[in-house]
Amino acid sequence: MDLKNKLYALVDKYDALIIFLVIECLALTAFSLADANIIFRYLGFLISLALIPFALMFTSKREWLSLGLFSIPLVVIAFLTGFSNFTISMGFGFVDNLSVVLGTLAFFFLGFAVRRVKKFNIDIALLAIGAALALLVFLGLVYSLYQYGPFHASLYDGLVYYYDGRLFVVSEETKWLLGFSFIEVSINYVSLFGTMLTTALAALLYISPREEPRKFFLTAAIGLIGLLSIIVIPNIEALILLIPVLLFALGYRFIKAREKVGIILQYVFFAFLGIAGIALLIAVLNAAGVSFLTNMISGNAFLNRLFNTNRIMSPINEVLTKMFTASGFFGFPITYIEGLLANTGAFAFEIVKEGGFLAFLAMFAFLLLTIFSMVRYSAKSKDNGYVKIVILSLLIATLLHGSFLWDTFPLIYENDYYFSFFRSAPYLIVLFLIGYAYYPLSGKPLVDNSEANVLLEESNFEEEQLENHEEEIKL
Amino acid sequence: MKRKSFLALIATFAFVLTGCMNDVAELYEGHAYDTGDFAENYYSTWNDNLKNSVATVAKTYDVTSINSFQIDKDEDFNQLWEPDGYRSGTTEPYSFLIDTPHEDAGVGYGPSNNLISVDEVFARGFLSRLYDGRIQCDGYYAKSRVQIDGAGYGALFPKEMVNYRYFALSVRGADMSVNYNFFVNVNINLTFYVYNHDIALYVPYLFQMKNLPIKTNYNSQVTIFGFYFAGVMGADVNLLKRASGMSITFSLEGDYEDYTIDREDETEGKEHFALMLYEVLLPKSSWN
Repeated sequence: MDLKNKLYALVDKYDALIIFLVIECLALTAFSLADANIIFRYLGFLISLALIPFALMFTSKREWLSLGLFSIPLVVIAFLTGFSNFTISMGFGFVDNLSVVLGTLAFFFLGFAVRRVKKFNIDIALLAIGAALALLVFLGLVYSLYQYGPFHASLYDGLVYYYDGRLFVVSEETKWLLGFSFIEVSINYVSLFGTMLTTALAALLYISPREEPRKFFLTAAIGLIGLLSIIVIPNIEALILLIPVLLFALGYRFIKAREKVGIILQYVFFAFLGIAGIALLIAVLNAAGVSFLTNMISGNAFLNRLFNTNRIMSPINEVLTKMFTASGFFGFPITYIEGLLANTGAFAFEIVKEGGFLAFLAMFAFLLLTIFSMVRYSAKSKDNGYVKIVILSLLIATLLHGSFLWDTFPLIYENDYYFSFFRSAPYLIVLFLIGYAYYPLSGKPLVDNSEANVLLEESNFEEEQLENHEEEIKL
Repeated sequence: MKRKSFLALIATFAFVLTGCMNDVAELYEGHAYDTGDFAENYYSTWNDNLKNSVATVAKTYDVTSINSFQIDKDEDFNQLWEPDGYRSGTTEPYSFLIDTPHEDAGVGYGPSNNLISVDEVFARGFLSRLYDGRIQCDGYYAKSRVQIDGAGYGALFPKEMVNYRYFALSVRGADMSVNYNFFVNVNINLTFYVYNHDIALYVPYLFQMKNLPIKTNYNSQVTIFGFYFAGVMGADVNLLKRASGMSITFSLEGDYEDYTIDREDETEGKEHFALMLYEVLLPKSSWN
């Protein structure tokens, strides 16, 4: 009992400080200050330790159980992206690898636990993330315009230039602030940040410019910086991937009979998920060399085209095939250079290189659980509409961009420098938001349940009384 | 506050609108100068200033076998003045063969003495091929060479040369024949240009490197020819301070009736001969 009182006192005394630290950590991570993600991962871990009392006090046993099950795949991902054949052969170092494990879990937990801090306002956290990302993107945007002018990827499409005696395609690059200097980076890498920012515009569907002008214009400025950063390159593929996000946002905001439509959409979504799951299973078995399947696919022109000989599947097959070898099962060693260079463009397949087969399975399990959790969050959470739409749009946009346009070798002049999605700042931000929006797969979270809070307080009071009584008897 | 924001916005726009657009200033279609067709790959670009705003040659210097050096293998680096031929802090000569830039700085002669390592400003543009430290054909087709005909090329440096010690040129010859491993004697005219503000013209200083035996179709092997400015110019050595341009032309020395060094020459029976420049080195120079 004494411990509980101490926890209450601790929570009451330090909640403002902890909120400040969380927001600062998120802003620094979003801005990727000095490209020191390793520091932010450890910082996130330390702050998450301070949040443990909040989580302990405002989470029911049922929620813990649900969270535990939800987190299993994330724990597998964290450990295998931290320590695998890949990370060892790349020589990232123990401290860096450990930071990946701790950071992955910590940022998810940060989101989960900070929601339990009464004074925490997600608006401020989203604003901090948005402002930091916007500053980063804006600096790169201005310098890119200065060096290339607008629309360089279209105006100079296919043209090349020479740097350090080597040839580069100018339409594939733009400028980006990495660490303390601007460097040349692939447009797809930069557009991920622009895409994340653009989702802020979805909030405008809920914010009235008359009633909340300050919030409206701030959100608009943040979102427009993101959108402009993609348009002025322009990165057409990234723009196309924003269309589903736009449709989702419009549907989420304007479809009145959401419950009815929701059921239909749910069936469509589950049907799509089922088809995608079967396709994935076939692709995996095909790569594993299951003879009847490989013969069937290679013997049919359409299936062969679909599963073997197209520009999306070729690199994926290259990666999946190596996954089933003894030394590729726990991530690829550097000797699997072809598999490492095969650009799948999708973080869900890049994890095969970095963590191996189990991490690959865990990733899809985590994605599924997150989808179910977000569906419940969108339907049940008491968060403001603009918060929900921003979080959901951002997660969908990152999922789409990361599934088609993720670039593992984004540095133009150092094209052997591997960029891991699972060590990147966007990954940490996304984990924080998934943690924040996490909704148990059954029941309500304690913080969303006012009755439960009252009950909790009452039961605490009763327990306190009981304990005092026991102490009196002992005396 | 609003005024400050407005001014910041104006400043940003001004910055963008007056952008240098450096990164799109020199663009090429596809694999420029690497098409695989010998006749298409000549680099013959002369900077307009070096064509139109040039004074008469101020001084001509003869570079002879006595005041120059020629390097074909590691041991030949001993010809350089101390300690230029040795790996930093050792008595071992540089490696002639290791020429992959950056990674082998300190061991390979090219990556240890190239102009990009002296000043990064030399990294941008087609001519960065001549400044990148790859002093020979390293297996990748035409990766680092600049092919010139007799009229050569003339270019401005991105900065002015303030201090300089010696010049070196890594070069081989090539023709379209099926003959291999022979020498062609060539005279190379190397000119440095110093801009004279009083007359608003570039003043040329010509270095005639005569009768150089150029390895031709020699398994891609190159020779480094060079000279020390102090050794050739003597008391005039400071005349090249603030040199801001350079050109290279060449002629054949001897009886080569079957050859032409004019890329436009279509005379039947004439074989086109070109110089393949791999590296222009000005080691230990400084630029402003």
